[in-house]
Amino acid sequence: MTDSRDDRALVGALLARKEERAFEALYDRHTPVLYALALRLSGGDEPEACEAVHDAWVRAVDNLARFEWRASLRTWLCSIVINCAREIAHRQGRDAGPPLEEMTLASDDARLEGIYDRVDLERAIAGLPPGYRRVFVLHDVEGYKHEEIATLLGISCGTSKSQLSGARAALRRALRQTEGVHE
Amino acid sequence: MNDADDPLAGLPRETAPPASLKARVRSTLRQRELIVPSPRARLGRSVRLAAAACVLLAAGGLIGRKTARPAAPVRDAQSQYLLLLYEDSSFAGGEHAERVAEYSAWADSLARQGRLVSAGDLRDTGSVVLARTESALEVNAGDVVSDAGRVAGFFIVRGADETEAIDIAGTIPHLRHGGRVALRPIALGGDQGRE
Repeated sequence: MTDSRDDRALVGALLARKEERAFEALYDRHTPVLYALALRLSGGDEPEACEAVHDAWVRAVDNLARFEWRASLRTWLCSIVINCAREIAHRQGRDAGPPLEEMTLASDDARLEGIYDRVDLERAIAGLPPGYRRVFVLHDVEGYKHEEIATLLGISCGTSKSQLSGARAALRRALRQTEGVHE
Repeated sequence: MNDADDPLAGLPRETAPPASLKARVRSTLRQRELIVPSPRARLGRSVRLAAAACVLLAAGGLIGRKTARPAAPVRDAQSQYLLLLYEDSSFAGGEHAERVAEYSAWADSLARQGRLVSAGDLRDTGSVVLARTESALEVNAGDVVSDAGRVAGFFIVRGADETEAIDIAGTIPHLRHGGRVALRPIALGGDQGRE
């Protein structure tokens, strides 16, 4: 049976009584979005995405008393997932950005347009270097602004913009190759 | 650019996570005491805590025999005590499910204090008594009978000493329903506690 209480009521029950049912309702409501985000950030690595979501929920519940509702609960949870995903990638040595020359040569930086097979698109995003992929997912897929991305990832706005530019160019190259396969 | 031109607009924003992930997160949060199990979950956990205390149970089944109470030895905070719950004709526990929920809540409060070691609700059927004669192992359906009734369940609790263990045992719901509780200190390690 779905819990009809809103996020504030559930968070209140969790803080006041450590109510497990309240946690489960929040989990069921938000985890599909969190998991989709984690999966995309990890390049489709399911165990890594699970790790990020697990760590994010533990961190979130542990820090729930400090959440001030300046943003929605989901936005806050997403930011925690992003941090956890980055930490996991860093621990596994997969935090490196793309080679410098790739970043400086990218000139085709407009948003992606056109019709692409969804599977090809997901695969192409998963195939991006981690730094490109992270910025691309957050900006073009999730709608974060560069200032927000810079804060979340601990990079400068300039780096965020150049990585996005590089990501879009790399994605186009990958999708062009895919088009050649389908023809 | 409108959504029709944006290939990313069609990407799913939700993906069902593996079912095992929820259990894993819940387990971590419980371990860190950031969430408390619901009453139904606590009931299941208390029942599952029934351990190999059957050995202890066999020893405790000799209750009713009058023995001189040994002087309470000096024990540390890790002393353990077996509580055997007896029911006879005067026991009035009401609905089994309600009683189990009541006992589970009591067990859960002990667990949060770090005082619960194990617990078990014993089935009414399937009881056998074993004895070895010179020639064979005898296995007979039934129970060891004592004047306190039959053993219905058990708890193993931690207490600093016997006085504290009695204080703990004195709060068990079983006593309110007319049952009796036998308390036996458990010999741990080299401490046999026997005279």
